[in-house]
Amino acid sequence: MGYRLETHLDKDLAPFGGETFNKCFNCGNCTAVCGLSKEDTTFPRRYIRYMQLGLKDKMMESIDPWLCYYCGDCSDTCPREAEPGELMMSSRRWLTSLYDWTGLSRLMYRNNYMHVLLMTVMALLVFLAFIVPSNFGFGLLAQHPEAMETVMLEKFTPVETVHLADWLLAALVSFFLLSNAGRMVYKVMKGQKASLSAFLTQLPRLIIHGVSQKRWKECDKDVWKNWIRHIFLVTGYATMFLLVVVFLQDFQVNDSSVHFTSYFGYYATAALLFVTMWMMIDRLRMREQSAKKSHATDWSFLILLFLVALTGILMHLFRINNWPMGTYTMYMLHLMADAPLILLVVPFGKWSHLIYRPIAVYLQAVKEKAREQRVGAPSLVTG
Amino acid sequence: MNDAQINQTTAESLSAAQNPKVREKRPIDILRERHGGMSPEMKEYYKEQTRIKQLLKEALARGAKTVPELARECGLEPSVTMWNLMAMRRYGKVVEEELRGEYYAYRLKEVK
Amino acid sequence: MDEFKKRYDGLVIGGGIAGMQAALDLAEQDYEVLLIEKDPSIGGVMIGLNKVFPTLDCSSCICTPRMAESVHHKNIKIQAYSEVTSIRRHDPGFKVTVRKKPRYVIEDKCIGCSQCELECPVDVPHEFDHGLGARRAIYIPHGNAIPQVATLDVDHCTFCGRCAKVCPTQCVDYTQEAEDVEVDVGAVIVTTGLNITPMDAKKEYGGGHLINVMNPLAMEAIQASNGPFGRPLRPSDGKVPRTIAYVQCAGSRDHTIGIPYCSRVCCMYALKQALLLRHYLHDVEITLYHMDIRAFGKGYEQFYRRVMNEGVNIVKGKVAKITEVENQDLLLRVERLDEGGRLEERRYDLVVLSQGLVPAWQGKGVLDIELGDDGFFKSISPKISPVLTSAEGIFVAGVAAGPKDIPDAIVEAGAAAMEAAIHLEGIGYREQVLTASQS
Ligand SMILES: Cc1cc2nc3c(=O)[nH]c(=O)nc-3n(C[C@H](O)[C@H](O)[C@H](O)COP(=O)(O)OP(=O)(O)OC[C@H]3O[C@@H](n4cnc5c(N)ncnc54)[C@H](O)[C@@H]3O)c2cc1C
Repeated sequence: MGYRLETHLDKDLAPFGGETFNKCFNCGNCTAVCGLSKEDTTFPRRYIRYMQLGLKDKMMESIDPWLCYYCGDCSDTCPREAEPGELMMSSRRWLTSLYDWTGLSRLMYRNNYMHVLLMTVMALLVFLAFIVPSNFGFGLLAQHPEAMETVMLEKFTPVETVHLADWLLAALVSFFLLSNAGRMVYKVMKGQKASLSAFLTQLPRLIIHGVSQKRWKECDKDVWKNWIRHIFLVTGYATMFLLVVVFLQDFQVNDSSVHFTSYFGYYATAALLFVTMWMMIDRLRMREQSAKKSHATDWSFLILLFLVALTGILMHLFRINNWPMGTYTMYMLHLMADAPLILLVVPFGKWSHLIYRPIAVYLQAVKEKAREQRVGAPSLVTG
Repeated sequence: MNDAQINQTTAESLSAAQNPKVREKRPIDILRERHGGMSPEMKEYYKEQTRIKQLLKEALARGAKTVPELARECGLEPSVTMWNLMAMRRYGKVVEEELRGEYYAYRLKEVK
Repeated sequence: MDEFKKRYDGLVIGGGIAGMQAALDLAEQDYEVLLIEKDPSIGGVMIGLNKVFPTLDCSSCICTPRMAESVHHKNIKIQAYSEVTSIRRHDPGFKVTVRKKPRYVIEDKCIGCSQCELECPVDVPHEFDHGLGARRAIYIPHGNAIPQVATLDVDHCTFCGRCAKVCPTQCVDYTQEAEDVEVDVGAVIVTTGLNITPMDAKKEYGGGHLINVMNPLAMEAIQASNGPFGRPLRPSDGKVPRTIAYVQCAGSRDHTIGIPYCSRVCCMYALKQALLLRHYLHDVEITLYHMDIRAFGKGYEQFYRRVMNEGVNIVKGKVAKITEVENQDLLLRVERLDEGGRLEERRYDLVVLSQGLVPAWQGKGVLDIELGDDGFFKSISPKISPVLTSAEGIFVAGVAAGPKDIPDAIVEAGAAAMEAAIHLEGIGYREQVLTASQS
């Protein structure tokens, strides 16, 4: 099979953060120092080679960047300071933009103005939704002066409306995310012979890895720190997702009373605030390799997530202290931060890795299985 | 030189230092005084070395041995055994004998 | 030349191969030269090498005659075990202070009989063998040492006084003290040479704590027939090594250890050592891991081919990690680029790190001349006359000016001697000094 050479790949990659690949002289130190690099899946050196040669198709077929957890050992020890870890990171951004068929991802990653603009527009739309209609938000509130005396969310954001919107949003996001994931699977498996049974038997891995992220323990450095942070983040956000999308009827309390679901909310809030602050501090201190370079999208992700958690808990506090105006405003701000996060960052931005990473581990297993099934076929070692 | 001898020389030099009339200060005492004598680490080093050499000598007196064999018999680290054995070899106390598997055996050199 | 005069035409700092060559070339033109060497013997790194690439000549067989020639030359005064502590400009030349360190042995009376060394009760790790072998607290560094006299290392002395008792010429003098002497010189040639990259520079390679990860100069020592073990053996337990790995660029071309430059000689010395080990050891497997082989000199590429043909495995791939496993064997992890990027984890009996060359001396507080980015003395005219430094009358040659091999060091030393001679003529050093002393 022939491959097309992209002669301007360097220019294409630069906005994603991948500028240093030309420093690499292919000594293989990064691959050998990496705890995740295995006999038949060796990275990052091979992938960086593709970058140098302009083998765009090869890069798109490859899942290597998703298998990297950026412990930074390779960058720490690279004799050429080519920063292989950062090259893997920027490749993840680049791949995200290529899996996405809408073009939004590419727009956001390549253009910081567009990135901020899109997020602002999203927040403004939410703002308008609270201002313009007469049966929702401030329009509804205007008709119910009693709701200014004491908290009555029913007279501000009727739970059915919000719930419906949540479902719509979830459906929309899933549609984008899954269609992009489908494109990823297609690109990676194109031309690979794998039987249906190979796909089916390996399915459990998708779930196990998605939830546990246990591959992390094979890294050599900062294993616990990174793993714990991600587990908090995942469980925190999953809890919030369930509360809002499935149990909103219970979770959104109308008056200033406390429902037991709030306790789950406390956990989620604490986890999200704690982890986002920790990560932001790391990025400001720039000590670890993975925190030395930050793309604008890394920041927007952390800041939005932090704001969502912060406004959420403030709204809760205002509500149980029966401060109506504070509660309503926070509710609106909460959704203004949440909308860009859910609609942009999850399907098109940094957070899409929540699905691409497990899929990558899964596809790797599928490929291995398929290889086993093809008895006598040459191994892909030299791939 | 064994410990007793060292102590004796120290005692000699001390008496010499304290009682200059008895005996004139020897040049070696001048050197020792200028350098504040042996450092505690050096004393420890020397004592340990004397002990190791003695152990190796006794073990080799019972027959030629390789480094791992010697180390096991004397309860020493193989690397420490190796270094001290090679020091003995260099100063003609020990000679190399036949190859046993992957290791050479060494024996004490007979003194004629 | 025996006496220490008050004035010399040239001062050479560092008595390695470059320093000796520079001193000889100046002396041959009838200039008087003072050569200062910090170690007990002259000879530098070369006298500690086993054989030299690409000819595989015995290194000491070439170096010793040079040492003897220098010490016997009527125009050269060799002052070993001494250091230059200050150099001030003093027209027309320089005023130099030399500190003679006390050997506690009267050099002129010592006949090099080794009686003291044999009598001394304490064994000390020997610098000449890079700690693998032993010397005594009073010792003659090695059989080819020049001057062939004993030196007492007080830090390891037990003060038993026996060396003085057994000395047949009564040359042990415990009362010696360091002595500062002043001399006038007209030109200075700096040939202070190299150290290898410190063994603890890279923690991925064990940070200097793994006993069977060897430094290449120590490997030279154990290959030599007068080496500390008498034959190449493993330092940890005396095993005859069956599998040996060379790790290239272990101490240079690596930004992470602050040594981005190529040290130029490591590929060649590693190939040389590997080939010789194939000759010395029966049934040994040697693998040399490299980023690329730089066989840059005349006859070097042919040498590289020869080493490959004689069965040394040459593998492209930079070793990323060395870990100690059972029996103090070593596990190497490397991506083999010669096999399409296969990850390899292999166990070896012995590993040699091809450490790079770093400057042995940067003149701190003594010599006020510019250094290059690499830390070596800077040549202000690298193309036209590489031996010129930022200070007039001070020249540099050999590895002091940057990594190079012996032939290049020798050529450069000759050039430095020539420039120094031109400088001495230019300032009319001898005439000026003569008139000054007459008036
Ligand atoms: C492991 C190894 C193997 C090698 N094998 C080969 C080979 O086979 N062939 C080849 O061509 N090259 C080889 N080389 C390179 C070779 O060793 C050098 O090119 C050569 O030794 C350089 O000589 P030099 O005189 O410049 O420096 P050096 O040999 O380092 O001499 C410098 C001298 O200056 C003295 N000195 C340092 N500082 C001071 C001071 N402040 N005051 C007074 N004196 C001082 C030192 O004690 C030393 O004696 C090898 C190098 C290594 C590390």
